[in-house]
Amino acid sequence: MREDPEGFAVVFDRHYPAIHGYASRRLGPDLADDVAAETFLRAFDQWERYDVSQHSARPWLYGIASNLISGHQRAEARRYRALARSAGAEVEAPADLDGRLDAQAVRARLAEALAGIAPSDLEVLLLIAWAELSGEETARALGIPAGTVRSRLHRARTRLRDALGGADPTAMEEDF
Amino acid sequence: MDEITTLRENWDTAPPSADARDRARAALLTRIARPAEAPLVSARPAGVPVVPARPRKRTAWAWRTGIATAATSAVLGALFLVGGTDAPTPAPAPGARDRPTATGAPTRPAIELAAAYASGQPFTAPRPDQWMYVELKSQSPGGMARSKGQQTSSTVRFWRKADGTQEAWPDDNGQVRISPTTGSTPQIPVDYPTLAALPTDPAALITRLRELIEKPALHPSVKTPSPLDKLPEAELNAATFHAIAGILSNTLLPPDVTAALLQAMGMIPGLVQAPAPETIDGRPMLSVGAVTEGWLRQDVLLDPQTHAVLGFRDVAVADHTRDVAGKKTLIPNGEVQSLTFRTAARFVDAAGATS
Repeated sequence: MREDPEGFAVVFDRHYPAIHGYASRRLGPDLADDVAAETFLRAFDQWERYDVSQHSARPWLYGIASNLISGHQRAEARRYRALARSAGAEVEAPADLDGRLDAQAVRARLAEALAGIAPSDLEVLLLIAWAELSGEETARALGIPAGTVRSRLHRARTRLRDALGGADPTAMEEDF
Repeated sequence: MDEITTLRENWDTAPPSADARDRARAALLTRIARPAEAPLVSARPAGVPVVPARPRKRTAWAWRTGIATAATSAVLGALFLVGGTDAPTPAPAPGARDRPTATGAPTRPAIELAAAYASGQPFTAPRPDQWMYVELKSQSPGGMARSKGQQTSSTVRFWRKADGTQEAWPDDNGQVRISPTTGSTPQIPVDYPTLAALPTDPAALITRLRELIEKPALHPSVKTPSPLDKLPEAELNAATFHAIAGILSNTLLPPDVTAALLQAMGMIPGLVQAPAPETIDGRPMLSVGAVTEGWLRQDVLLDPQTHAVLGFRDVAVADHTRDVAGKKTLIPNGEVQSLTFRTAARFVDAAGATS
């Protein structure tokens, strides 16, 4: 593949929006610009050693992005806490006419929950929820066994579920 | 709505600005234009897979179906080819039973006898409110587990509701926690209703499994898969073998589906069968497996008399050096990397119940 490096631009065109979107959800749009750009630079530098003909490029790219995002752990935690605070009023507000929490309130609760999840568990949860990787792809992206992915996901989901107060936070009439 | 879906649907983000995208693309093109011998990023980010040299590193599909890892040591003899040829097999012929085998191989491959055994087993379909309970015991004393710092033995118990809606796993304190059936996007389904409804024609079944495995893992915005996203044929065959092994290991299914899975397994090109039983975990077993990446064979272990499926094994068939973050581990030819036995599989009335 290195014989045709210009071909890597195709990888960029195909995956940049998704990688940027993932980084933006975790870090906000400004840092996402940097992380997404750096992801593809690093990917290109590793391209010669990474056998893209044998693997989907997607988990590989998310693995690089995850590693870069982990360097902004404090910024990410601050972002979640800020989001939780900014919508704090809505969390306490009564349910709307449908008996459902409005999206902003749900997001605030999610942010509060995400801020309390261990980084290693959070990384797995968000690759599955936001990057929409499978468990196997997440294992490949992070270079960890699938069993570890499962246990980390279980812990993260449990924390998230507990923080949300039940299985379906959008329909918790009794709780709110 | 489960919490994964909630998280997905309540956390939108704006698309990247055209300016940011253009800058990123320009930076990449500049990097591409740089001579190849110029210094590149020297440090590999942790966890990013790299191919050090051919044969390729072990890929994660080996973990795809969640078979726990394990091991003993074993001396492996010559093997007989019992699967198809190395030619692509998008639609295997239904007449696999008549396919000739290598000289000296049994006239009827063990995997077909295993299918025949499975088809005759008693089975009572579960009620939708019942749970499938499975217990797997594993050992993993090989170099692969050592290099990952994994436990050398483990017991995994889990429950999946027969209606497919929920699953239950013990938490760190041993308390069984029920959750919606994993909503991550598994290529191979894990829920009972879907698996029980798999085609019972082995050719149709293997085609279905290949479709699931091949389904490109692309962002929804990508309409045309890239060659980068396609699995090569050899890996697809190995992934199909492992997917079937995983379903057999992790699920209790109607006899006709189980038999079809074993027959489908027998159609996978390159399948090899040991010429004679060997002693594994204190009892004779016959192995049928598929070699992947040139050094590792995944086996289904059969009772040599009844041909009942007894367990699963990963064993090195060539010396292999595993490099994890610069730490090299030699995995010698013949070393068993994992050995897994299903010690319980039954339908019970509640999550947490074992009988």
